[in-house]
Amino acid sequence: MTETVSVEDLTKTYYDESRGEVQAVQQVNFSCEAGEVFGLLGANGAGKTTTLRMLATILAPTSGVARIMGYDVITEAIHVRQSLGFYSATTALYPRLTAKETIEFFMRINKYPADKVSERLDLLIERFNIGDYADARVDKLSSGMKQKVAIARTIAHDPPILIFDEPTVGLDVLNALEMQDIIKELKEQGKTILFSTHIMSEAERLCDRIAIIHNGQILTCNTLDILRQETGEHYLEDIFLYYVKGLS
Amino acid sequence: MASLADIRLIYVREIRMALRERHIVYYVVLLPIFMYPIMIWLMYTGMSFVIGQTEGFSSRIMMQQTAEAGREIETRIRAETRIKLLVVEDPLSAIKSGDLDLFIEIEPNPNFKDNVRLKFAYDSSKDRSRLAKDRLDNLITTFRSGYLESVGIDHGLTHAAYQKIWVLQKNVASQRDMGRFILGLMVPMLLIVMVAMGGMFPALDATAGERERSTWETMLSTATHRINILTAKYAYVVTLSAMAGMLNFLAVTISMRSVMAPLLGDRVDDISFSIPFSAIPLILLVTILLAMMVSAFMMIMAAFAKTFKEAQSMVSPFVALMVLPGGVLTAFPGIEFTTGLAAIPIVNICLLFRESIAGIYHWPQIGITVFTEFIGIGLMLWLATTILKYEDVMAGSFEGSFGKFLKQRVIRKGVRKDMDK
Repeated sequence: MTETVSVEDLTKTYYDESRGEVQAVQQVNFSCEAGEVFGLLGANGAGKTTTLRMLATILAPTSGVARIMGYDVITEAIHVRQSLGFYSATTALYPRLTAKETIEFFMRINKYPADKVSERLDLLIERFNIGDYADARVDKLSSGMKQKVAIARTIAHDPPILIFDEPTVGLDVLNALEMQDIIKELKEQGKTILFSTHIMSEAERLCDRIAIIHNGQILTCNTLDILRQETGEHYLEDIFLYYVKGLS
Repeated sequence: MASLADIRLIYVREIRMALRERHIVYYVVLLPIFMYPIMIWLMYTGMSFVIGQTEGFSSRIMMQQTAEAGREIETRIRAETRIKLLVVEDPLSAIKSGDLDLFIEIEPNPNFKDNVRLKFAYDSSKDRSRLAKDRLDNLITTFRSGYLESVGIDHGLTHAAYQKIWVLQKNVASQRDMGRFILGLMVPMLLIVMVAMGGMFPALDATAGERERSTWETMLSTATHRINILTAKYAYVVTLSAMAGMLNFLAVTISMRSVMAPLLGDRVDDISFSIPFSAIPLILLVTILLAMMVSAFMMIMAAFAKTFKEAQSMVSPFVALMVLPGGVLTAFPGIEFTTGLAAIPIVNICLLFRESIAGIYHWPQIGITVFTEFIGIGLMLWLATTILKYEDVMAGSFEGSFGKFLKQRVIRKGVRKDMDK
């Protein structure tokens, strides 16, 4: 299997006026392969989003190395951004663009070949069933429709790596299940999916490997079966508590 | 590195979104075209209505005449059609309560026989009372002048000898000069306000608005350098800001005749409201420079806000502070475009604008103005670049305002920064 993401001793420290120096992420190590769904499981404030933001080059690491498709997140940020799609908890869409304009913009800005833009646009519109409202402004769409547009926007330039930061937060059951189906489909296409969540059932259902992150540190990282063997617990919730309480 | 294709792509997207936002269209297009012409027209119509109303009033005056020598002036006052004589019990209280405009006592002058002394009581805080005093002042001046002339003639003076000085006046200003003078007084102030107002909504939308919608993070994860995103956004704000200024300038210039008509009446036909063709490139340059300066400033301020409303409350007072001195200063015709004033940003643009409208070009001052503005814009852009090197400001996690940032990071330089890649 091809290693698509590698993270070595990734650390993020920032200064907070009230708390002083804060170590949001401490020497995190992991790697991912093509066609793998890698889950970062942790409570709020555990360091999941900071880790993903560093991989997406939104934040610069304080120390350590991270590579996406072999590109360094610090020195080759543009190549890294071109190789990944970032989906955040909010749909983060421009309300005054139409669904079609949104997807096309992200395709072009992420350097998808200009001669293939039209073809892929049609493909995405068809795949996500957004033809009926492709020319409607995003602010007129329902939350389910917005979610589809946001996913289409994330994969618009067909990146090999996809980062989903708490993708099902705020979604109803049906939309959350649809999101899970899409993630499975993307995995089948050979994409590497980095996925953060605090919902145990979701991680259980989707992730090939799970990293439990707490206070900025990865406590363990393995497949669910191995985690079960190591802890003697069956449910991920209990496995999570086993590691978190064991640390405290 | 900077990519023109990326800048263009983001710029077009920003403009497209802006033209679909009701508030932006209102501030950038409708307000500049319609608000000031309509506002000024309403103001002048109101003023001329009030003046007309006041002029039409009869002055309510109580006269107490006790001097034999005062008969003649008494007759004149009684003959004045715009004066209505009343008798009240307590004239001073009546003036205070607004029931009487003026009380005049005509009494003998104890120092000079055959002279009279006139004593006025009026309320200068009331329009009608002041008008009554002015009418009596004019009446007495005319009476005294006529009296002196008749006495002079009785003593053998000719009419010509009595006059001695004959005054003939001629206004050498052409219709066009008068029009340009009026435009020069009003347009710079309106332009500077409109450039600021036109740029404000886009500046806040492009910075704090992105944060509020959570689209900023997505934008930062796209495959383009951050400098491209910022350049496109800056160009977008400058475009709309300059557009608002130019539209306002055109609208005020075109509508000035109709706007001034209520105040000037028939005299408006003696004035030609036009600007010299040669001034247009300079006016364009000046407007763009002003828009660049104001936009950079507003975007810097708004970069510290997390929501649109927060940005509005951060930016508005500073915009008013920045805009008003220059605008107000140019409304005084006595202020000249000196070398010193040419070195003060924004003030210099207003004065340059005023002179360009009048077709006057002081090239050394124009050179200093352009140079000063470029320095100012350069400083703003340097500050913006410095600010954006701080990751927490760029990512939107910095807690505090522009002032706090300056104190902590620029003056003290106490906290580490993370460079943008």
